[in-house]
Amino acid sequence: MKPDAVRGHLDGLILAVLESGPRHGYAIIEALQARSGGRLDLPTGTVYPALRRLERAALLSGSWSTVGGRERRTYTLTRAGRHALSGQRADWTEFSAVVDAVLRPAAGAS
Amino acid sequence: MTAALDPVATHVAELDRVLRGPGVVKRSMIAEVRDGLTDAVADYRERGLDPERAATAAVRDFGTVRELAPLLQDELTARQGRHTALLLVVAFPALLVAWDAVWAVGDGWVPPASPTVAALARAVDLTTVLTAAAALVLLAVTFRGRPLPRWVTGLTGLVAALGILGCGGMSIVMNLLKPVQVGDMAAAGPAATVVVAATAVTAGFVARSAVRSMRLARVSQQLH
Repeated sequence: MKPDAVRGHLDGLILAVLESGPRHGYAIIEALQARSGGRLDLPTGTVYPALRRLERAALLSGSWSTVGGRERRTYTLTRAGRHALSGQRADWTEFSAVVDAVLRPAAGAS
Repeated sequence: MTAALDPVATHVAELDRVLRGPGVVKRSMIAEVRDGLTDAVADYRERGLDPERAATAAVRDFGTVRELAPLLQDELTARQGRHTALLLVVAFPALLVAWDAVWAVGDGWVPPASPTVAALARAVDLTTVLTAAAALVLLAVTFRGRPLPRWVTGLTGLVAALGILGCGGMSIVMNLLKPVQVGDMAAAGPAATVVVAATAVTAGFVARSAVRSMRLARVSQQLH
């Protein structure tokens, strides 16, 4: 999937992979790759400014902690983040349904 | 692999050189990027690549400094804007209350003040309230989830500069008008001394934060 197509949805994707629990930056990148089957073609570094932006918006909380013997910055979905994720899911469902309806070949089209 | 030849160290050093912003946030951001790249290198090594190839692959996946620096800088700039706005929201009303308290307990000049001084005092109060109100709006804007337009931080810096110049300038004029000057007030009571010192220190912090905000807004613009 092309980077430009992904960028507009990156925030929602990050919120989704943090729904199951706190993760550090690289674990979030790994989860994005795993859940997309490796089809997200995006510079991995773009995840870090996105995490800072979501933290600034209070959708994530970030803190340094020791994970696996190393200091890592770990992110947790906040209540506002869960609410935002629900909203993004609803928006995406509506958007994809509309686009799918328009793109679907019309009945009788060759 | 020496540090000079290590693609990860070179990449991180270049980002560190290019980025500008609040020290604590920038150090945290750079440390996080370094950790991420270290994890990526370890991941590639587990898949069988030698250290040099693993580091090169991790940096390639990460993206170029040209791609990432503007995105990271936007966040540093936004944090500076939030810091300045928060400083204004807290400091300006606090100083207003502190000065009112000084007048109320009699450490200020003896009423009635001259019409000019009274008008200037009202103008300082109004400027303080307007500055704090504008800062509160700008502070709220920094909580939006989308990338924060850099002009927001620039405007926050401008509001801070105008607030401090306006209040400071009018206060200096008031001080130059008799009957009582700041020096006399400071000598008159400890409360006034504390408030005068707090005002001077706060003015210094606000001025520095204002300059940083306007400068970082320009840095963000140059990187895009």
